[in-house]
Amino acid sequence: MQEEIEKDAKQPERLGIVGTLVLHSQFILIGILVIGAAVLTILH
Amino acid sequence: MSRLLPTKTTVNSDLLKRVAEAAHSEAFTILRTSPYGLTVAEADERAAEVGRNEVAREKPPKWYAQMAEAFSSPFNGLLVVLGAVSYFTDVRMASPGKGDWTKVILLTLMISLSGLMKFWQEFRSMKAAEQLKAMVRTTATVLRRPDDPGFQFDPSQPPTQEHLVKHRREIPLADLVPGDIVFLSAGDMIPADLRVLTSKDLFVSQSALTGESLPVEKYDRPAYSVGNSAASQRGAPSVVPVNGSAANRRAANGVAKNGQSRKASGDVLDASALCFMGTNIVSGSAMGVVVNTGDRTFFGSMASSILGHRAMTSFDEGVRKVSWVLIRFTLFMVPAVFLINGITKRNWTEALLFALAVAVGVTPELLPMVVSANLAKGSIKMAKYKVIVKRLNSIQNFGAMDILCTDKTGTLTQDRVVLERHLDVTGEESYQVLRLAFLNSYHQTGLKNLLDVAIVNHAEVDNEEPVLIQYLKIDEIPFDFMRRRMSVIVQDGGGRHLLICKGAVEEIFDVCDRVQIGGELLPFDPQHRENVVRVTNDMNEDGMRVVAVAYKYIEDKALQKETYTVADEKDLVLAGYIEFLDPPKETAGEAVKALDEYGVDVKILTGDNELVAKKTCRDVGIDVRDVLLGNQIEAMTDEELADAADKITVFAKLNPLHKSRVILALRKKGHTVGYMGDGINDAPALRDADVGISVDTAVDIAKESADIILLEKSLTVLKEGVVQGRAVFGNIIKYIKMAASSNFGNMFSVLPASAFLPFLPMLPIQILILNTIYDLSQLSLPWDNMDEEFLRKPRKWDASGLSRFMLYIGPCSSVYDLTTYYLMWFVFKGWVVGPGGVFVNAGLFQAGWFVESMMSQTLIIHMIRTRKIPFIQSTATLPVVLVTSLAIATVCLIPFTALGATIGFQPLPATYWPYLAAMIVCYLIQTQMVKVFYMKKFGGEWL
Repeated sequence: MQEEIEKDAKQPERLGIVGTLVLHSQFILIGILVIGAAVLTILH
Repeated sequence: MSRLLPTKTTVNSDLLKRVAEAAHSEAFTILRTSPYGLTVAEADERAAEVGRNEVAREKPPKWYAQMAEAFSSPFNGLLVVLGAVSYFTDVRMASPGKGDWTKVILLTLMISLSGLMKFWQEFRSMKAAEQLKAMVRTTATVLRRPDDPGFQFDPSQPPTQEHLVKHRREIPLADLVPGDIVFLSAGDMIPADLRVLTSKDLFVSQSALTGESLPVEKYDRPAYSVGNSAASQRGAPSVVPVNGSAANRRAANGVAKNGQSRKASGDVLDASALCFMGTNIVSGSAMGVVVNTGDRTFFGSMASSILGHRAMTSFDEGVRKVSWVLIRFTLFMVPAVFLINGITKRNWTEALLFALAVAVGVTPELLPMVVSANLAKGSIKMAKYKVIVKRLNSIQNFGAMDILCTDKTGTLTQDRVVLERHLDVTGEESYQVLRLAFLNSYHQTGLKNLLDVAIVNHAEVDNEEPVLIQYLKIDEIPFDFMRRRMSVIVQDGGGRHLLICKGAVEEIFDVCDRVQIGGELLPFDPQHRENVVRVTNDMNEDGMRVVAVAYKYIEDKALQKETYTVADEKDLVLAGYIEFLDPPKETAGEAVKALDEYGVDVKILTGDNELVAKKTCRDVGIDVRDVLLGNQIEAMTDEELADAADKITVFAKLNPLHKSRVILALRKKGHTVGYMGDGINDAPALRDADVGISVDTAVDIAKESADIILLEKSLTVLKEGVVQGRAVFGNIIKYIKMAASSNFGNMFSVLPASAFLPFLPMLPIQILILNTIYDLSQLSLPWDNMDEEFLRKPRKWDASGLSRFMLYIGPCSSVYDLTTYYLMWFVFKGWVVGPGGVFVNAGLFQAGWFVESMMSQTLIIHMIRTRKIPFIQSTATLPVVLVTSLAIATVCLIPFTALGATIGFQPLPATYWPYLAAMIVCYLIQTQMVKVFYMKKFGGEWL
């Protein structure tokens, strides 16, 4: 069983560009929103 | 190791010393009792006088102490501060007649609600734990004098053997009172502080009190060891175990020689005639009189903090680490939020209160309660499967267990050993062998094991009863796990002493020099030895357990003694064997398979020989690749053993220390190891395992050492326990990951809001109300289930993935918090300034975030609780769905109520809701996608 568990454990996968973008989408969106707020504050 | 000292003065050391130094009659006078014990009425009277034999620190705290504890949290502290501030600003400093009590009342309600909820949850958990503990019975064997006024006795004369047998009874431990006469045998926990009256090779482990790891011998020789050497000359012991052979045995076994080496210390713990509560009997038997009970005992007087301390489990350590990670975030956030808001809004008091409210919001103050509620819930559920959890934290280890080591007898096999045959050395049926075995088993007073019971209960023994009349018991040499044999000495009608020894085959062979074949006594030469080994091996291969029986007559009066010792076990005649069948349980195979499916490897650690062990394993479907024997283990280094133990499933001919070493070796390899056993020889292994599992019928010390007690000795219930353990762990880790990620996300939301907004994104009171409702909704978590896939693998606490989880999942909600700010500012005109520079739509802005924040925080529960798609592939249990829905509904309604208006909200317009719905849908989709790629990137890691 132990060996089976080890075999079952999924190996980390390399994510493509899309995968990496999705995984980090929250940071990208926060960045856009905060920068947007900063720009709007300055323009205001 | 340093010894522990009593911290209270209640321990009656003077009385102990006086009783220890006194002769029997004097001791009985001091304790107002007699060798015949107390009557039930006298015992009841004393119980009323001195209380029950319970130690206060083991009793649960009183309800009011628990209530005080429940209310004294930082969260409540802050609410009190806010309440006080509100009282001054809204009531005291308000213009006359315009005082507003709303906030003060609201805060008082919140304090009451959170405190009472916490108290109720913990009170219930504790009550449940107490009730479960009470299901594990602990009794003491006492001698009670008949109440019958006609019963005559002479207190100066000890009772007869017959009287002792007739009037001994089992009573609950708590019912013991000073003056009671108690019987003790190997494996017993000492039930109170007591003075030894008679003893036979009594060795006691006092490590719980003194730290001394070697057992000490206790015997009825009063005085000298309590610091009065002159007194040692008085009072000759009624049984004198300290003779040449006992001393030799001590030296051979490394037993600490009590008293003499420490006699100068004057320490009451060194008194040879005193046994103390909390210690346990390693071997031998005794009778003693109770001196002190309950809190008056040495054990009871100890500081609970010292004695109650247990090493932190990996789980405790994990929870502590998580708490610190979150505290560090709070420590960073509070000053940052305070400064940013202070600078941008120029209102430092408001900034401080806001920062404090944020601190409260991000503190997972429910963590201890969620942990204890989950553990309590798990333990109640396990009780339904007849599994009693003694130590709540061990539930989590139960779920993490990937190797279960178990003793063979009674777990894989039925707890019903049957005497199959009684054979002479040639393999022919022999009544003489049965008779010898019967005399031995009947008269031995030590630990009666299943084999003794099988012999005494054997049907043919009925015909042997007259044998008892023909023989008078003289003495016995108790069993121990080093010799693996025991002897009884009886005297026959002709005045001859007959020593009958029975035990493990090899160990009996070692002390035999002759063998009885037919009526003849022949030398036990290598050829005979080879023959008998072959006969016994054949029996073992058939799964039979074999015990050898040997004897010798001591006819010479000069050699006859009153007290015999291990040294007398020599020059014996091998008479034959008793063959027992220990049939495998019907359910054992199924249970082993089920455990295997759930990722738990079963290993067998047995004192039996390899042939019997192998046969049983084959019968129940355990793959026997190789067998490791006790003597092979001895020759191995810890590293070699660790490597070997990983691969081997059957360990045979083990003594208690071997068992311990195997467990420690497996743990060293990174396994979480469970051990299941019920004998005195299992106690060290039970302590050394991550989860010690014992059964209700086990000896006291095994039950004491175990974390989990099975009311039924079966492996089948273990699988349920393992599944429960994993479910409990899953629900706890769910809360921890959720709290950590959502708090981290809040930080991402609050900081930009503080920097860019001209007013507070949410008022302190609003944050606290949100927090209270959210916390209440979290209380449903222990009622959640876990996906089947999660339960299939051992789950071990690993804090390393937590920071990563927080980092990726937390900010997902921040995206929608920030979007809400944009929405409320631009679409719902948060920027509009009214007369006097007041932002007229601030209340609307705050209501918008209040509702969105609650929704995102609550829905994350459903996202995190499963690896699958929430609501579609995996749904939480009804209580969780209902409670979280109710919480969301409440929060959505608050801005429309009078309460909402009081705390500064404005009702939300209808146009807000489609925006909110769109945001929530986007949030769920985004989080699910991040989750999928997160699991891909980090090898399937989630909960």
